[in-house]
Amino acid sequence: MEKVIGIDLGTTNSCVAVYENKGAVVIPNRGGYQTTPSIVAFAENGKRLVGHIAKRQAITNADNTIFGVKRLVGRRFASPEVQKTRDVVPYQVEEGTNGECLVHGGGRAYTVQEMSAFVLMEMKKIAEDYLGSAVEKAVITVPAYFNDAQRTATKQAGQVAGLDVIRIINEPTAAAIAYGQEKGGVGNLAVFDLGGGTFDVSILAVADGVFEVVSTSGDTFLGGVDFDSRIIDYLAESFEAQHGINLREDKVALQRLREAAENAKCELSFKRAVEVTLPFIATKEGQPIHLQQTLSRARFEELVGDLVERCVEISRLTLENAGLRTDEIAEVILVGGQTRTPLVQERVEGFFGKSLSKGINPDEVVALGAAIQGQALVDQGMEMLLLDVTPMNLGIATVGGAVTTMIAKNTTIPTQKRHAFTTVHENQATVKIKVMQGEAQSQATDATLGEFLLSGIRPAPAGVPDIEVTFGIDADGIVSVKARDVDTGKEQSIVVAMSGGLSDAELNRMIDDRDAFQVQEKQEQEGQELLYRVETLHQKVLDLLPSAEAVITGEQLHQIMDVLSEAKGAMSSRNQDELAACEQRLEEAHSSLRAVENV
Amino acid sequence: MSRRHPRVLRHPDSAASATVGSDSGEFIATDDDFDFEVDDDLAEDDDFEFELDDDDVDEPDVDFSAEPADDGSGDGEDLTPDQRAAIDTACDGIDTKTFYEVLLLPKTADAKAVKRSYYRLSKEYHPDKFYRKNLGRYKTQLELLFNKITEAYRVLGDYETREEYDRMIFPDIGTDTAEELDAITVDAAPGEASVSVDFVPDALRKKQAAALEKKKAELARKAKRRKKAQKPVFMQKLQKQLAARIAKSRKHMEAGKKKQEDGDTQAAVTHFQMAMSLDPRNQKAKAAFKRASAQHRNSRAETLYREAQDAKLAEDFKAAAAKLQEAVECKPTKGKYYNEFGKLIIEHTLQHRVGLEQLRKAVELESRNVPYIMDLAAAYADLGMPSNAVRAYERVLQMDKKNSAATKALKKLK
Repeated sequence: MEKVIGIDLGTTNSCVAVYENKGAVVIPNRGGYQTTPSIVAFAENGKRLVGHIAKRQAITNADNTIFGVKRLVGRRFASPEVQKTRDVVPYQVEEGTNGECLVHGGGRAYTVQEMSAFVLMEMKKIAEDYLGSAVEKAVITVPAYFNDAQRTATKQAGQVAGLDVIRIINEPTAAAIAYGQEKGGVGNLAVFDLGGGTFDVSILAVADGVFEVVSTSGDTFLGGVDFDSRIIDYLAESFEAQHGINLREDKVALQRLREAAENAKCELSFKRAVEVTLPFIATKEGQPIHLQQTLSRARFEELVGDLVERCVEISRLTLENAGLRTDEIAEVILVGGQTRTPLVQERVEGFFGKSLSKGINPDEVVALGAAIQGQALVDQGMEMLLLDVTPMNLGIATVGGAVTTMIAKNTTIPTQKRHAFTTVHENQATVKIKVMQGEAQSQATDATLGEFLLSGIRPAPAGVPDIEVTFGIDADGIVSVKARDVDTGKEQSIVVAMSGGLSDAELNRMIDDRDAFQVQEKQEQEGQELLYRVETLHQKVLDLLPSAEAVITGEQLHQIMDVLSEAKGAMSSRNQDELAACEQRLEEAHSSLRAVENV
Repeated sequence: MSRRHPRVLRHPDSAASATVGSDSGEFIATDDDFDFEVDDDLAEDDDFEFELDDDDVDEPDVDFSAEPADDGSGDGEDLTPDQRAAIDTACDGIDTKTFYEVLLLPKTADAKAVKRSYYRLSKEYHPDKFYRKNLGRYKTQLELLFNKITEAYRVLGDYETREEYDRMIFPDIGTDTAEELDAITVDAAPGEASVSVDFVPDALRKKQAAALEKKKAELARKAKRRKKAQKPVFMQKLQKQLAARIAKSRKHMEAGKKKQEDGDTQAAVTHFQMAMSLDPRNQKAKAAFKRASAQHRNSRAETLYREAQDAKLAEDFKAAAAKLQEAVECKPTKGKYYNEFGKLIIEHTLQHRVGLEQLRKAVELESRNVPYIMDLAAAYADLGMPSNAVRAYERVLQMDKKNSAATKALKKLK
């Protein structure tokens, strides 16, 4: 059976897993790490780097090191979240022709989907190296609170990466599946997922192999990087108070600060205080100055207290929406690296009134769950069913700035809802429907998914045509709209003008780019291997020569010397054709020397 | 509000949309959870403007699913004959089935049984179980079936909605129904002995089945008629709420009237306001509120005026000014307060222009009030605007030729 991989595409780190005989396992990367940083960089020589290697050169190549694009995915350039992100990242973010975001790196602009695709390609490669065969099918996870635009963009990223994304599932649900598979058990489960860039909380009911999400909520712009930001601001501000220099204005200094803040945050999980030292961080009056600052856990907790409070508040709302009390929750599981912070654990325990379930790895559990779900989809024999929900109200814009809900939040998906429409003017041929998704049911705050034009309505007085529009949310959480003229039975043509989505042409362009890049990469790799082989052969011949000299003729010796010097020339010129020819000659020389050796 | 289950029938906005329609006396259903038929009450959203943008029309439908196109034809090659049969049976007559029948439950099933049944059926009919399979014509049937199963669970899984639903489909039969129906199957027809529990002769079985069918059909017809006549479930709730509000509104009306008699105009206004907001259709409440507000404003303004006079006598000019200002704000249509306020300002502060403005307003409101115009004219004169003063005095004389003070002042100016 074909293998399906589960990919946790995180804001800061990604993880890939696959289902084997006994259960799902995480696949480590070439460096032996279970997770890979979701970072893409463009080195000076034009090479594209992904993962740990990209993270390591972040400080010296701040302009071209792209991280945290999950905070941009599916968002319009004009949205406040994108603007906030632009302010703190060293790489350039600009507006595309349709209002979407473009990221600059290595001298050109890329769409957010492409950036995510680069990371996905890396995870795909990791899996293929481990399995020893090509991998196509994948399940990719997204925050439960992602809206339709964000989910679609993620799916498109998968396509650009050459993956057949068979399902998009929610991260807390994936975690619950992984947990449930291991621990078994029945009852109500709360998942608190605080990752690098997003926060989700889901309440599930688990029984008989069915995982039913009862309610879910979150914040797609709240995560570990915000905790880092608080520390960065604190360090920068105390430095400014001391020396009058704002370190955040210097890209390199800011990058150093960012790394230091992340490390400090991690260390404070098991230490009471840390000393942050950044020598030669800036110059004042020609003299180098250093940053030396102590950060206590108490002070850190002060700095991030409101962020944690917000998480708890959202948890309270989600529990309320589920119609459950805290004592009705059997287990609470923590997901995401940021949940390692003692303050977070304390507040979550305090709120739910029970000790947290340890024994699951918060960094890996999501990928494991994704792999399990992938397996369940291709192998019907698996006794597992996931009943997920849509996290936000889906509605249409109506008069007065309001939004009328078509499909309410926490409705089980897949689902369809039909609604009747009619015209307002006589002989009106087109009806425009603006579909929105959000919490507040007001046009000011909800996100616009798209404007659908229903055209070809036959001429009639106002209010007469009867158009049935079916709103659907599929199992990926992606919205679809279909219309039907009830009187004629004809299916109306609908035009999808998705906000920020990619057109077919653009997608194909990106896929072609990817193919071209892979071909180029392959060629480079082959060239590299050829060079290596020639070098090895060259050395071998050289090694055999002294002992063979006595036995071979002078002419043979000359020939071999010629071959050697030609090979030397080819090695420095790196000309593929020359190298190939030399390889052959060296092979011959080598085998003849070996033959003589045994004499 | 605590709810046992999130899947409640009433949406937070359905109450709002109902009251919007209540002005016209008609409820507009904007959402109906029993949605397998097109709703009779169309929601007409007025925002659909005529907008045909030719540029957009030609963009192709964006479809990124890599799934093989299942065009709905074909007989479902990837299904086993058992599965096909099961789906066919389940979908047969699905529109007339009750939620209990959809979930294969007796009416007496408890919450746990409902959940278990839902889980069991989900595992059979959830689309994921047929992922990427060629379903042919069974595709739409499955979608419909799973939708119905989910809907059934949403209603039956929540205590409140289940109660309402039960009342709706079995309103006056009550719990006897279950027993009645069971009784039909168990009893032998009179005159025919049932030989043993296990052996029911064919003819008898057929008769029982026929009787059962008839009874079921009758119940279904009754239920359908009742359903058509009845407004949807959430609307019943709405009507109850509305009745409660009207009753409260009436109570407030009475309380308000009493307060008026007692002379407490402030309290009366509050009561009438409550009455009005609780029952917007009550015209009497609106009128009472208007009258009471006006009454309250008048009495309050007068009280302030008197207090201001007292303050003036006590030489507390600041307090007097504050009171007069409040009086002016309370009753901006009465010239008296502007006039007094203006005079006070001119006499006791340096802000003569401000005072002038007040006097002007007083005259504007009561253009035939001679003393006011006199005050204004005097102020103009004092502030070095003789032409305005002249004009003001002339106006006085127009109305009252014998006004000696005006004549004198005019002479002085000219």
